[in-house]
Amino acid sequence: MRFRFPATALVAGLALVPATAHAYLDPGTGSVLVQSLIAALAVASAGIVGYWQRVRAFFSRRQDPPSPVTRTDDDAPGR
Amino acid sequence: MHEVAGSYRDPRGRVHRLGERVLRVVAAESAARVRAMLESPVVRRLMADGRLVGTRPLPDGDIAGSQPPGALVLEHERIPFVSHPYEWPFAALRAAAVLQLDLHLDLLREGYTLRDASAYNIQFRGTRPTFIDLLSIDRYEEGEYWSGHRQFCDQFLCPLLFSARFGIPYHAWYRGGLEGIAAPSFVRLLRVRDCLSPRTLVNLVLPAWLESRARRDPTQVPPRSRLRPLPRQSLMRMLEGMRAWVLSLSPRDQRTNWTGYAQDNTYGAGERDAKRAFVASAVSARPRALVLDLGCNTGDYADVALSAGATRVVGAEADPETADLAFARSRSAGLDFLPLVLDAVNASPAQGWRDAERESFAQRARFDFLIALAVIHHIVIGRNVPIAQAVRRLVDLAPEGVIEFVHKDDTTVRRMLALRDDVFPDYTQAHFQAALESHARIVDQRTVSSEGRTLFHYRRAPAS
Repeated sequence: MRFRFPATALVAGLALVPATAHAYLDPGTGSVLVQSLIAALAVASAGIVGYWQRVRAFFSRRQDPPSPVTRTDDDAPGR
Repeated sequence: MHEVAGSYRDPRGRVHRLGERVLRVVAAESAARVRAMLESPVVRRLMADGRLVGTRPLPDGDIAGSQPPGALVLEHERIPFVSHPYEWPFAALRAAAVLQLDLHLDLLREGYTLRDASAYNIQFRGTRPTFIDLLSIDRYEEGEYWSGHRQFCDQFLCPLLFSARFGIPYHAWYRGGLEGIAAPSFVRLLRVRDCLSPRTLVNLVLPAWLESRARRDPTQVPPRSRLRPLPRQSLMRMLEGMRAWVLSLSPRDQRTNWTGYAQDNTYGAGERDAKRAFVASAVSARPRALVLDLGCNTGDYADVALSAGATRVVGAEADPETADLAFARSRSAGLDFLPLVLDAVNASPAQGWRDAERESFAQRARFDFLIALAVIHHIVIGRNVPIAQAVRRLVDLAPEGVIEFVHKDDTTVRRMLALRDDVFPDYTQAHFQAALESHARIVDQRTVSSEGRTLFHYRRAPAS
């Protein structure tokens, strides 16, 4: 919490800074930019989850005897 | 056939009125796409359950007049009374927001999406919201963004948050701005700790900050083609998160003068029964009426009118919190009664593009019957409107109705005048009656309270 508060406050504070220029901008620009961040996070988290599953699969293959479940894993696309 | 002024935005199709019928002329380039969409299972299901306005394509040549070649003409089910978002009580705006999100989620599951998130695309039948802009529905392409996110925030989320957070009705701001409460303006009202919640941060604070940064340096905004695709699951999670947020909002609890009125008013049960009986008998003289209940409070007399044979009632109530209670009551009783936040002395004007995009209340007021109980003293004494003008305005709202006259020695009026000079020498029953008789015939009248409150059943002279 001690870490999160100043970061959030900084973001909130910056949002309150008045826009100095009045260049034409689509009013949905901020929403689009946030969604592109969400998209990037989704890709990153999918990568992390995928990598973690591969690590788990590696160890579970070494520890567990072969079973129908692991056979299905072997047949999964991308392997 | 004339084009509806508010439908100029979408080049793919325009709405027209032909007498009582509502038609949409779809441009030739979009005709095939719209036909396919109309036949999709999800759209058929949404129409069957009433969440999407009933629509049928008309055969070529069915409507006389020059349509562009290849155009597709659709006929929509007519909405009995068109209302604007800035007239909706809190619970109505929230119900409309939930419909917008549910519809979007249902469409996404079957390969469609909504192009925008305008609150004006939703109308009410009783308290049930229905989506009316068929052309907002389009094929979903994998990776697409929620293109109506900012519009949703402006037109639904920020007004609801504004009332929920600060206890101030959003109606005046919404009506003034027409497109809701702009999210960056709303963000300026928030304290730092309001911004701590992740959903406030993601939906409001960060977009506002990124927008102001992009305004200072527009070169930072990447072209559309370089935007990273948003997985459908992430889009759906955004919509689901927004839905949960909207559903959690309720107006700040405040008991006003009016919310206790139905219980605390100054007359007794016997008098109330006499008043109800008079209203019921007058309404039953005009069956299947569209009734306006002006000063509807929590909807006691809307209920009476519906029981007496009215088809539907639109309520006008100046106090937003009371209108909200009336909406909740109507919804739980399943009534065809739509209470709106409207002040009799300052009803919605015609506004928007060409001063015609959103019709005024008077332009939409095609009521068959008026109920105006305990209203006249608020207009004349509360707002200094001359009595002849007040009566004229009321009679203009419907060809037939019931108006209650409240005397100066009535407890309520005495309270209103307690700290003011009485500058209302004309506020007498004789003047009221003379004004009423100059525009209408008095069919019946009855004194219903010990303090002399009198109900008048009028019928407008055919010439006026």
